[in-house]
Amino acid sequence: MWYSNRVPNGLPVLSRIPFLPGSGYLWGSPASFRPWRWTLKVKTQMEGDVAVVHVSGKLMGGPESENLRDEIKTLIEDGVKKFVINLRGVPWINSTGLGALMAVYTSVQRSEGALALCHVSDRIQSLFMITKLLTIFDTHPSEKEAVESFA
Amino acid sequence: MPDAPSGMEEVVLPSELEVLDSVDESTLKYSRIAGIDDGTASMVAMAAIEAVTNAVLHGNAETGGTEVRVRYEWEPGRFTITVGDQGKGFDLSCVHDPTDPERCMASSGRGIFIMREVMDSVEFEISEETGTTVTMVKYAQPEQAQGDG
Repeated sequence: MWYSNRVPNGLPVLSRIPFLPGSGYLWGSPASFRPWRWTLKVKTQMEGDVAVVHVSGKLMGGPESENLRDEIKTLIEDGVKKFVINLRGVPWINSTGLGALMAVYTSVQRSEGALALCHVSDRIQSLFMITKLLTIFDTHPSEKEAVESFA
Repeated sequence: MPDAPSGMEEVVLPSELEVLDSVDESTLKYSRIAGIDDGTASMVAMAAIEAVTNAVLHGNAETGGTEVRVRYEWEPGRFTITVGDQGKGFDLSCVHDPTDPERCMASSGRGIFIMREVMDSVEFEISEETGTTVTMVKYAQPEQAQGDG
């Protein structure tokens, strides 16, 4: 027997009713589904000749990932050569978000610049490790250390 | 762990990247109930996110009005997640190794690789009529994975 619940955005959710003890089925709608309006925020501050790009939100792919690429592109056009991307506000990314970072890395490399990352979460570090990209990105625990690495 | 409950939950989600947060939370919760440690549960959540990302971006090709079905199943020592889309399937043989030196700098093509690296079992059912369904299993203990093949 199936029961359909409606979650706030109007989509049905299917759950089995635990009509038999020990049936192993769980009542209810998904534990934590909630509508989520994502915005990938990108904000740059200059530390000397180093552009520190603060990223917050979800780096997941989709049109908002272009925000980061566009910001880096603009900075490159302005003549910036040293970049630090601060990922303190990004708890995790998917492979599409990783692709956006790769694209940024490639753009910076082509402009003969240098890129460092800081405040990379454990999950993002794990993703780098799994995809064998740990040696590609120059990562630092703090923004200060990342900026000083260009000294 | 012998007292961990078994259970199943199936949800139908809109085919949008915004649902990834809920998939992440649910995967973390149910994989931990299955006895998977926190560090491994985070990796399992990554694999789940990749599967749903693929369903949204590639399977359903970001088509409005489509859905992604996700089923979570847990029992002591074993967690299973099944993700299905409404697309037209794809050619699995066209998926290449992203760690190949000629491809390692590419900006895409890592999703399935991540799923296979993290999970103990990844199986695809692909159909032009019914889309793609991927079933992934993670065991709490490595020897369980070897025993069940």
